[in-house]
Amino acid sequence: MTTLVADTWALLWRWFIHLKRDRMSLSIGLMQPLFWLFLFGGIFRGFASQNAGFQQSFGNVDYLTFYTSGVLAFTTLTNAVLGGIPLVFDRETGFLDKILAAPVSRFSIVASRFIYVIFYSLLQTYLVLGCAWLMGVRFAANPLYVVVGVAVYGALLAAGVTALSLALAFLAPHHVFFTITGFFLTPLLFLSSAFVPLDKIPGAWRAVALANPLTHAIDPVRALLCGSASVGGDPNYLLHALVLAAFDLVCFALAVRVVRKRLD
Amino acid sequence: MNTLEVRDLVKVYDRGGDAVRAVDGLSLDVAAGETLGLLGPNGAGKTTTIRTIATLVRPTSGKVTIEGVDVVQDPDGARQRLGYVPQEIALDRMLNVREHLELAGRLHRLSGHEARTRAAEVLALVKLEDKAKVSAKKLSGGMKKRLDLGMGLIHRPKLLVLDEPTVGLDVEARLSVWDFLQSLKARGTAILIATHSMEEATRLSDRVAVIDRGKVARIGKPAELISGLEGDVLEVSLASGLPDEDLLAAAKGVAGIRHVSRTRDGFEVSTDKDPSIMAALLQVVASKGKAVASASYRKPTLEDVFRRAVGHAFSEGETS
Repeated sequence: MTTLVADTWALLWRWFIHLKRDRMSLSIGLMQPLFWLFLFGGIFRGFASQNAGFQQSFGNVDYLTFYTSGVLAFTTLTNAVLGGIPLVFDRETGFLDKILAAPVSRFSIVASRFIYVIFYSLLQTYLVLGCAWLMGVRFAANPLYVVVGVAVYGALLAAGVTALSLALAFLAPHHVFFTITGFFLTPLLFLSSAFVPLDKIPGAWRAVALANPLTHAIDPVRALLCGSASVGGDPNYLLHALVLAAFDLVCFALAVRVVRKRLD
Repeated sequence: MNTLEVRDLVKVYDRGGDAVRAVDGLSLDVAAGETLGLLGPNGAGKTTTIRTIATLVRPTSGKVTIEGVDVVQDPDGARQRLGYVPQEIALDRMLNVREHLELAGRLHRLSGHEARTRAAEVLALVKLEDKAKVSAKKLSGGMKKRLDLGMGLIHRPKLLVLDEPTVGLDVEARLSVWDFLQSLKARGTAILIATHSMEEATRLSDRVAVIDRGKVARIGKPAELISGLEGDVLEVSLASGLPDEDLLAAAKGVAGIRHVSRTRDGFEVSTDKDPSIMAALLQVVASKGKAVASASYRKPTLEDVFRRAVGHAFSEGETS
C-alpha cells in the first residue's frame, strides 16, 4: 500500500509539473466549460424566458440552474475521456516503456491519471459553480452538499471513463485515439439528461440516455442544485452512485484485460 | 552467478493468426563488469530479446534471470536490478534535466531525498551539471542521450540494457556515449547492448553474440571470433551483373580457397593467408567472361564472422 501511494505520487508529481508549466493549456482548459455555461446556458435561459411552453418543461426551475449540472458532469467526462492522452504520447515516444521497466505499480499509472483528472475537473467545476452563482444560479441544497456531491459523482463518473481512456491509450496511435474519443464525446452529451430532463426525452432515446453514465452523474447533482422535488433532478443518490460504481467495475475489468493483453 | 542469464528464450507473436518466432531458443550470459554486444540486422530478434529482459514482453518459454531473480516470477525484483534505455530518446519535454532524473529515481522506489541526492551524482556522471534546470527539449542530441542513460542509472542497476544506444547521433555524440559506457563498465555494471553497428559492437563489447532469426549464431570475444575464421578475405567486385553459380563454383575450385559467398556487387572468398591467390582468382573470373571492377585483400572483420555464421551479408539481412 505504501509503495502504491509512493508510486502514484511520483507519477502525479509529473502531471502537476505539466499543469504548472503548460499555462496555455491550463488557461484554455479553465475557460472552456465557462463557454458551455455562458453560451448554451445563456442562450437557452433567454429562450426559456420568452417561451412559456419551453419553460413549462422545467417547471419553476430557471434553465441555467437546470443546465449547470450538465456542464459540471460533461466537464468531468471530457477530462476523463481525454485522460489517456499523455499516455498515448508516452507510448509513442517510448517514455511509457521506461515507466513500465521500473518497479512501479501498474495500478499507480491509472491511479495517478485518475487523481489528476479529478483534481483538474474540480478546478474547472468549482469555477463553473462560482460563475453560475454570479449569474444568478442559487443552490437548493446546502452549498457544502453541492461541493461534495460534485466531487463524489464526478469521481464516480471519471473513474471508469479514465480507465477506458487509458486502455485505449495502450492500444491506439494518437490519431485513432482522437478519432474514437471525438466520435463518442458529443453523442454522450446529447444522449444524456444534460439539456433536457430524462422524462422529456422521447422513446428509445430515453433508454439510451438512461444507460448513459453521464445521466447518472448529472441527475443527483441536479437534485442538489434544483431541489429534489423539481423536474429533472433525481434524489435517488445511492441508486445513481451504485449505477456509476457498477459502470466503473465493468470499465476497470475491460481496461485490465486490454492492458494485460497488450503487455503480453 | 552471472548478472544476466538467458536460457532457451522463445517469444512467439501472433500476427493475424500467423505465429512468428521472433526469438527462437536464445541463450546467453553477461557477467558483472562485462559488456555483451547483441549484433544482428533489423528483425533478427535483438529488440524482442532486450524487451523481454526489460520485463516489457512476456516470454513464450525459457528463462531470464537478473542476479538470480526471474523476470517472470518476480518482475519488480528484476526491475530493481535493471536499467533500461530504449532505442528512441524518450524524454518529457515539460520536465527539466534534474526532474527527469528525480522522476526516474522515484519510479525505482527511491525516497524523495535519495532521488535528489542521486540526481546530483548522476548529473555529474553524465556531465550535465550545468544543464540541471534546462528543459529537456532544449538539449542537443548527445545531451539528450546522456540524460536518457542517466535515467537508466539513477538506481545503480546491476545490469544496464541498451537498445541501439547511438542510433541517430552524430559522431561526436556517439563517441561521448561510448566513453560513458566504458566508464560504467569499469564500475562493475554488466551491460547488454543491442546494436546493428559493427563498429559499436567491436569498440564496446568484451564479447559479441551474433543474432540471426532469433538465435545466437556465434558468441565470443570479437578477436577470437575473427581469428576463428582462419584465413584472410579476398573481395571481388564485378563491373556489371552478379556472379552466377558457375562462377562461384569455379572460384571455389581454386586451390587454397576455403569459402565463397556473394556480396552486393560480386563475391568474396576466404584464403589461407596467401595474397598471391588473387591472380588465380582473377583468371577464373576472366575465364567466365566477367569484368572485374575492383579486387581487394584484407584481414577478416566481425562482418565476416556474421556472414559465415548466418550465410548472408549483414546488410542483406538488414533489408530483409
